[in-house]
Amino acid sequence: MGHRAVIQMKKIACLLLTACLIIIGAAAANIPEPTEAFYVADFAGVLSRETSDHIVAKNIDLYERTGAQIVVATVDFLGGEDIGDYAYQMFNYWEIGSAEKNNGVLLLLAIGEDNYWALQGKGLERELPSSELGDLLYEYLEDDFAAGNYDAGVRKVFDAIYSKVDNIYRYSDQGGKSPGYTIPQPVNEDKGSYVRAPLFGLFFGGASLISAIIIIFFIVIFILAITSPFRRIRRGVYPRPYRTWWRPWGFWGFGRTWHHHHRHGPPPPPPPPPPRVPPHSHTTGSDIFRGGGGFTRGGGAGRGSSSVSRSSGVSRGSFGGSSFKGGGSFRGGGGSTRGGGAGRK
Amino acid sequence: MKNPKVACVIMVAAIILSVIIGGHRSLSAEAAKVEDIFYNGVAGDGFGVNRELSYRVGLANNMVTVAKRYLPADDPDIKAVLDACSAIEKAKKTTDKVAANRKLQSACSDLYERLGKVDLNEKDSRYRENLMTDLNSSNDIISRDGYNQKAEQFNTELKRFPANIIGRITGIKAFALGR
Repeated sequence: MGHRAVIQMKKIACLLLTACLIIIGAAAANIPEPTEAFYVADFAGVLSRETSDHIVAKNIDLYERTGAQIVVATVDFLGGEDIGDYAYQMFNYWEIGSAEKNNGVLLLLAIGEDNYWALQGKGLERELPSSELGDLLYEYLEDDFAAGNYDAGVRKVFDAIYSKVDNIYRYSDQGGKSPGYTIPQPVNEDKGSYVRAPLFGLFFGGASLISAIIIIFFIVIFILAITSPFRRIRRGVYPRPYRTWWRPWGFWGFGRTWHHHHRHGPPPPPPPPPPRVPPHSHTTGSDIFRGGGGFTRGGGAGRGSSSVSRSSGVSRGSFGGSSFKGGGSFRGGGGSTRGGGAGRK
Repeated sequence: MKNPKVACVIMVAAIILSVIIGGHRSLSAEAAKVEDIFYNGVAGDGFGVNRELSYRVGLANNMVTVAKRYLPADDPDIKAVLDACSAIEKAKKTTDKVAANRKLQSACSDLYERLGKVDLNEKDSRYRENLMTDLNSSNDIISRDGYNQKAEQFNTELKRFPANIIGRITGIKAFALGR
């Protein structure tokens, strides 16, 4: 392949990569960045200042005690996405709840689509199951939502969810048996990484050493079989005829014998002594072999939280958006959700 | 070994055999990783699909308990749910478990619809709704689980040459997806 063709291919690859990044970026734009207040994201403008302040104040206290976060977000539309998918992406992008306990809750209202959804973090799946979330939504939000009193409905359902989450931890703190199951401690070793088997590995895999030995053995035998008569001729040595005075059958199976033979012609001259090399000529082209310092694996990606890797698919990096580093006082605790949740019946 | 052609044939046969053995071991190792994720989750913390399946079997049995108050025990919709639960519990392979889960979801939906036509009391009506909500939620979790992504990657690799041939010869099959 010519040099120009290589350059051309590289250009095309760069263009394709840029196009992909733009598409990914555009997809990520559907999920807005969290607000500075974090716990209230009233993009649809339906909540009062009092309700917003109330939600923030309660969350500050809850987060300090338990790491739990109950985020209320209102949007006008979902950009064609299913509300469950949208909530899932938003939850994991904003990293709601603590990284250790994954105890976040997201209440999402899509005003323009006349719908709502609530989603809990991985650590609350059993203590606050989706059915219970559905009950709370139906009992405390549905009537006001249907009537367009979004502020009142959000206030009531938020208080109900807060009370429920608070009771979970209050009950646990008092030493009682938690109604749910205990979350197993994460194992540090990376059991889940899928390493794409390289082509070589696909061929030889775990039997690489044995396979390699067998193959090399047969290759060597084959090469010896094919090249042995030519090797002897190049040395100026000719094989004896088959019939010899003590090895008539060609013991090694190549039809020739290995015992001593007569040389024809004069012995080869001794090799000339190697030329003396001046000391300075070593620097020419040899720096590359001396190398410099060692290599580095490079810094890892600047990920804020390890818990996102436990989420079932969507990671923050995949959105390509800028990370929420504050400027505001509050931010996500690093929690994640596996999906599920409950919505409007 | 007198004949170089014979030697060549033997060498080629040995190479092919090594490739098949090595490839099978490699594919088996990757399949084992996907299985591990199915049982233990992507992070190895036990939050795998299998755990969710056990939870779903519990929910389905609860729905049957409610249904038996209004329908005969040998009702086909009840039987379908119980059969699907049994299939999940007895299945040894992940593919069979995933297939049984699809049947369970379908059977539970049918039973839910069936109970909607029966005059349930308030408590059982609430149970019916809540159990189906949890079943749907759990199914959503399974569909989003990292197992699906890993299984899909493995299945894609299995379709490529030479893995597709090695897999067919040595009996390595693709994984069923939970979505």
